[in-house]
Amino acid sequence: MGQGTEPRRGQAYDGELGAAVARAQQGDEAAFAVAYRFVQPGLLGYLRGLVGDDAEDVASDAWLEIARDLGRFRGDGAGFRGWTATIARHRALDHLRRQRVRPRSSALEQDVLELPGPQSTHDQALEALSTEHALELVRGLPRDQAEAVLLRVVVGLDGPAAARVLGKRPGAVRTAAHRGLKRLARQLGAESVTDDGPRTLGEST
Amino acid sequence: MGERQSDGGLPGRGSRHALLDSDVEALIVASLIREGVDAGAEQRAVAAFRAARDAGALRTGTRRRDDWRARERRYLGRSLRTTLSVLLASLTLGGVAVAAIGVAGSPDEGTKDAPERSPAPSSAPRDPAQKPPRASHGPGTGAGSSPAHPDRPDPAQDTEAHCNAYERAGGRGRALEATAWQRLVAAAGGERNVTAYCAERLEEPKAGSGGSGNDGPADGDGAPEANDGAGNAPGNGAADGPDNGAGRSGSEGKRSQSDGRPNGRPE
Repeated sequence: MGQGTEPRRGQAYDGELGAAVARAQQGDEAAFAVAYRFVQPGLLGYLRGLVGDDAEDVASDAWLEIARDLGRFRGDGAGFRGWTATIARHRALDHLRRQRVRPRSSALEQDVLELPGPQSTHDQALEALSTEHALELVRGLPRDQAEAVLLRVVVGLDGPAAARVLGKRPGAVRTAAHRGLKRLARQLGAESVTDDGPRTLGEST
Repeated sequence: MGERQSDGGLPGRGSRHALLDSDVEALIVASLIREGVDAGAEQRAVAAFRAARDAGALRTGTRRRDDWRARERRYLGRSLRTTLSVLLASLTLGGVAVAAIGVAGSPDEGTKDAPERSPAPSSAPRDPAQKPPRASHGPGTGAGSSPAHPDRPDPAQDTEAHCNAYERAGGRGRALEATAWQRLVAAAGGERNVTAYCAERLEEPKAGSGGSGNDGPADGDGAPEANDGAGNAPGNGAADGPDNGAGRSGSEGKRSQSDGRPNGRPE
């Protein structure tokens, strides 16, 4: 825990995941369910960052494709996360393309409107800030930065794997992730100045 | 641990004026990941898996984009090996090729030029049949010309080196330096024959090495080819060595005297 970078999300169970995927490839249905439970939370998180509230639908589409193509996959647990992320990403981009053709009130604007204002109860505000607002900030990043951050942090891919998902060079993805994190840190840090006021006040009274 | 120091030792993310990457990451994870999965969605995915499995989809072939086996490391390893062997091959062959071009051009020209240009004994093993006529002239000088170009390998060795590199490259001729590969193809009489040609080539010197070894340095340099070396070893060696130089004796006399002699004679 003390180390600068904790083991990335997902890496802890890559061994089990790899074994489950291998068994699923032999036709083991239960093993496929195990792999699903390992991968889905991170995948859904990534999709939330990409398509907001439609993440669940897009994830369902992605899993249909994953189930269909599982026999083609070659690799271990980490590889499986990269492979599934690639599939999910393609589904998400398709989804965004369709949305652009037929625009509706985007998830983004809605979320901004629903964002708890500074007047909310402080604890609630803080709690909300740590979830909804962080999501909003991530989605406010330039696409390449947002995706790099999401793949590294939420899906837990290493640099080369994230680069492969994005079809970019590892160096470019590393830079994008770094910039994205710095930008988020600045934004969150700046906001926390105003947040600190009410909170300290609330605690002292 | 250390990262907290900049926060003034406050626990948690209470004061976040300077958020650290790890804090931001934790926040993102907290905001985007919800543990646990929707049972209905899982059931649908598993049902899709079942349907695909029963339809035989698990036996479909792997496409490039489906292969996520530690690609980077594998590529790194391979590229490192390739780079090294290509580097080695081009160092060896590049030098050899350049030298050989200067020396002999092609084997045929080599014999024509031999008298004036005194190409190292290289042409000797190639055209053993053409040597004898010149044998009678000044026996001493011939062998002497080989030390004149001590580090210039002859085409036979050249070919051998190419073959070695070719085999090292696992039969992938393209991994060789282009010039070297072309020369090898030319020598073998076609790309298809290279493997057989090299197999033959690389066996011969072993058979002949005993013979040429006996001949001493000068001849060894000049006659790595099996039949020649083996044949010469006992009796003809001395006669053959001088042969080489016969034509050049006049022009090369000085040089061969100055530096050639010590190794020149097998005896």
